[in-house]
Amino acid sequence: MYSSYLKSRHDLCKKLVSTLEKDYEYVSVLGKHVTGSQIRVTSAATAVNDTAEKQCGFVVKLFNGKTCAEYSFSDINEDNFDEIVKNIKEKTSISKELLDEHVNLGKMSDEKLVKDFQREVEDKVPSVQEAIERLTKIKDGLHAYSDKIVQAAAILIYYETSALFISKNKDLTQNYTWINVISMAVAKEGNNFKSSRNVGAYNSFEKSFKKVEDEINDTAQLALDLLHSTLIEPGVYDIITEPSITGLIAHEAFGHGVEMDMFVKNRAKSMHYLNKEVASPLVEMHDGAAATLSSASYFFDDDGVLAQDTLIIKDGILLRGISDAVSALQLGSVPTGNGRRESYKRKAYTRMTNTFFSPKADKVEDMIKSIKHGYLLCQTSNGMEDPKNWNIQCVCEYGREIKDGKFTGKIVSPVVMSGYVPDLLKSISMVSDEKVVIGSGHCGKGYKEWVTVSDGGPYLKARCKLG
Amino acid sequence: MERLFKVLRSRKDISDWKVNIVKTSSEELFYVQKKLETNRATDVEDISVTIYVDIDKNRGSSTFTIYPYMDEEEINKKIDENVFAAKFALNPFFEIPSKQDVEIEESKSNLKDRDFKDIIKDVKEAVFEADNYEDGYLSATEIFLYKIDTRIVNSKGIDVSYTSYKGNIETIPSWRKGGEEVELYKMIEFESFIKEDIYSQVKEVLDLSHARSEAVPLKEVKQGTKIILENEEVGQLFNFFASDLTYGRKFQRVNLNEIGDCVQGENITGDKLNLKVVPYYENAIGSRAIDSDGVVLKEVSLIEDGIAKNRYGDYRFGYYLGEKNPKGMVPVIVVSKGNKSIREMEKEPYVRCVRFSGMQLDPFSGFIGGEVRLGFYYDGEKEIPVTGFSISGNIHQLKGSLIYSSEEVTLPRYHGPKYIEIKGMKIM
Repeated sequence: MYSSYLKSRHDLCKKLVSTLEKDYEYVSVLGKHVTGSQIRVTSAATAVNDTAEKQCGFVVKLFNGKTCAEYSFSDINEDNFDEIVKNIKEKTSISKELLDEHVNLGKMSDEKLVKDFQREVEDKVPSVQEAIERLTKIKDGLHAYSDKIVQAAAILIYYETSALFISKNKDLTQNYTWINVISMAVAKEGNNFKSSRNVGAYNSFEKSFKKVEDEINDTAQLALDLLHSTLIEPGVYDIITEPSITGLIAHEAFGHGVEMDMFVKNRAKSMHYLNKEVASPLVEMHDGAAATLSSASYFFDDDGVLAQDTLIIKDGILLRGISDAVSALQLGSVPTGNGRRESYKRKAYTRMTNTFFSPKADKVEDMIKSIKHGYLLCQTSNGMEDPKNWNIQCVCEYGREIKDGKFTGKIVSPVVMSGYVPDLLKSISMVSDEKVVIGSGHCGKGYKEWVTVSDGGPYLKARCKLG
Repeated sequence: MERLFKVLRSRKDISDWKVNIVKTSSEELFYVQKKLETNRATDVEDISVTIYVDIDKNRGSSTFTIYPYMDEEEINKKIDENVFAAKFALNPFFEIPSKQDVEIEESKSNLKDRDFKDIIKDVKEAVFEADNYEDGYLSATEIFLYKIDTRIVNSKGIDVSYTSYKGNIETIPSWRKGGEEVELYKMIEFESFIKEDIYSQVKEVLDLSHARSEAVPLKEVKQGTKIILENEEVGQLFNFFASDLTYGRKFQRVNLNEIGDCVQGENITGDKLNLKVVPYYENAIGSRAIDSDGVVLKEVSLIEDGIAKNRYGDYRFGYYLGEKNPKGMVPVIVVSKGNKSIREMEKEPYVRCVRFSGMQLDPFSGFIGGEVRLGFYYDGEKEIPVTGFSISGNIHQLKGSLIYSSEEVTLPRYHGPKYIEIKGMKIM
C-alpha cells in the first residue's frame, strides 16, 4: 500500500515546487519511502532487521539556467517548511568561480502527467513467526543433507517501495513490492570450505519460498560437489552460459557501456558503434523497468520518466543506449526511464534495470552435445564493467566440464571469464529457446551507488578465455 | 530524539535497547571533464533502533529504523511490531555493552576548520591543476565532503557522541593514443584536505592512464614469474588473515585457524606476519573509537610472528565464546613492514599488478586472482606496461612465502606494507 507518510507530505511537496518555481526555471521533488524486512535464520543466530533498501526522505532538483542543483533532506512539514526552503536556496547556491565552466543542460521537458501506479504483492505477507518457521526448515534441511554442511542460512528479504514525483506539470505516485528468499550452505572437509547458494526472486512470497524449498538438496549437494572442485587450466574454451551468467555478460560486459551518462563523459566505446555490428546476429538485448517483471520493475524512474522496454541490440546491431534525464538533455536525446538513485540521499545516474538477452530456437541438450571440450558456466559471483575499453571481468562461481557432448563430472571453481567484449558476443553461435531473468542482484556504478537490478536470458554457446 | 528515548525507557516489554543516530551533511560537485554538471548538498538523518526481549534463557532482538517524522504513537507502534518479531528471533542470551569511561578525542581533520563551500573550491582546484596533460584528462570527477555526527545510546548507560569528517574524490583518468582512448578508476579518500596530496594522487592516476595507453597484451611470460601486488590489493590480502580471527567466524565454525596456530602454514620461507587491529590510524578514514554496539575500541594484537594470538569482532559472538570483555569491531588493520624495498623486489623479473578490475580473494577456499587492467612486466632487461591478462593462485599455498615491502601505505582501513611479492601464481 502506498506510503501514508508520503501521502501526508504530498501537498507540502506541491507547495515546495510552487514556492521554488519563482526562483528556478525547473523544480522537481522526489520523495521515497522504502519499508520491509530482512529475516535471517542461520546456524549461528536468527536476526530480524529492516530491509537494507530502507529509506525515507526527499530530494529536490533545481535548474538554474546553467547547471543542475540538488538538496536531499529527511523530512518536510508545516513547521520546518520555511527552513527547508531557506536551506535549499543557501545550500544549492554556488560561487561564480565554480560556474566558470559548466555543461549546457538546456531546458528540462515537463509534460503534463498525473497518475498513481500500484503493484501489490501477489499473496499475503507472512507473519514474522511464519517466515522464521519456514526459513528454519530450509536451514535445517540443508544441515540434514550431510554432516559436512557446517553452516546453513536462509534469508527472506521483502521490500515495498513508495515514491512520489512532483514538478510543475507532473504529479506521480507509485507503490510496488519484491521478495527474495535466499539459501546458503557451507560444506567443510578438513580445512577445505566451499559454499553454495540459491535464490527465489518473485513478487510472491510463495513462489520465492517454493523455489528455494524445492531445491534444498540441490543446494546442499552443490556445496559438497564444490569441495572436490579444482582450478581450471587457463585457456580458451567453448562455453555454455546458464541464464545467470548470460545475464552477467549482458549486464557487466555490455550493459554498463550503453549507459548514456557514459556517452556524455566520453567514457563509452559503444557510442562509436551505434548502428554497427557488435555481436552475433543471434543476439537481441533489452533493458527496461517495463521490459519484464522483476526486481527492477517500477512505473517511473527517479527523474519522473515512465518506465520503458529499450531494445539495445537487434540482430547483433547496436541500436541505442539507455539514459537518465540529465544525460539525455546533454545529448539531445530522449530519456528512457533509467534515471535511478541509490537513495534520496544520492545523485541520479543512468542505471540498468532488468537487462537480458532474448531467447532464440536452440535446445539446451543440443548445445551441450555440440561441445567437444568446454564448460557449462554457472552462478554469478561478480563482475566489473570496463565501458571504455570493453575488457571482460566476469566471475562465475563454478563450471562443469563437458567433453564430447557429455558432462564429465569434473567441477572447476571459481572461473574468471576475460577477453574483449565484441569477440565474446560475436562468438555466440547458439541461443536456447527459453529465458530466465533473476531478480536478486545489486549493481554499483564504479564502486558505489548500489541499486537493485535483475539480469538473465537464455543459455548461450560462445567461446571465451577462462582462468 | 528525547521522544524516542522516553518511549524506550517506558516500555516494560523490552529487556534492553540500543540506538544509533547518524546525521550526515555533505557538499558535492559533479564534473563532466572540467565542466560542472551538478552541485548537491545533503542534510539527512538515520536512526537505527535495536530492541532486545528476554524469554527464559534466550534473548530475541529486532533492529528497525525510526524516522524524524514519527510521533510517540508511531514509535510505539513500530516497537510493538518489533517486540513481536523479536520473540521469534531467539538466540542464546547475551549481554550488551555497559557504560565505560571513554574520552573521545576531537577529530583531527582540518575539514572542520572551514566552510565546506570554501574547501570544496580548493579541492576542485587541486584536482584540475593536476589535470594538465595534452593527451590525458579526467573524463569525470565527483567531489564529496562529509561531516558525520554519530551518537550511540543504550539501556546500559552508554551515551557517546563523536563527529567525523571525510572527503572522497572519484576520478576517471583517461588517455588518448592514436584514435583510441583508455581509462582507469581511482577513488581518492582523505581525512584532511592537503592540496599537494590531492594534486600528486591525481597526477599519479593520470600517469597510470598514460601507461595503460602504452600497455600491450601480456603474452609471453614465463610461468612462475613473481607477482607484485600493491596498495588496495595488499590491504585486501591482509584482511584475509584478520577476518579469519573474528569471533563470528569461530562461533560459526568456519574459521581456518585457532589461537596458537601458525596462520602462514608450517613452512614459512617469506616474512613472518605481525598484524594488529587499531581503532585509529592517522589518515585512515575508517578509524573509529567506538563500534556500533558502543564498545570502546582498543588495539588488539592478532598475529605475532605468524602465530594467531587473539580474536576480535562482534560483541555478541565474543560473549558467546566466553570472552570476558569482547573487543568489538576494531576497524583498522596494521601490519609490520618488511625489510625488502620495491627496488630490491624489482631486481629480478616480475609482473607488478597496478589496477585490477576487481581482485577476488575467497575467504574460505583461498582462491586469489582476477583480471589485471594495468601491470608492469620486467623480463630482466626492460619494464613495459601490460594489460589484458589474469592471475590466479591459492593463498593457502602461497601464504608462507609472501615478502613484504619496507615501503608503507595508509588506506581507509589498512596501514602497512605498500607492496607484496608473491611467487607461484599462474599468469594467463
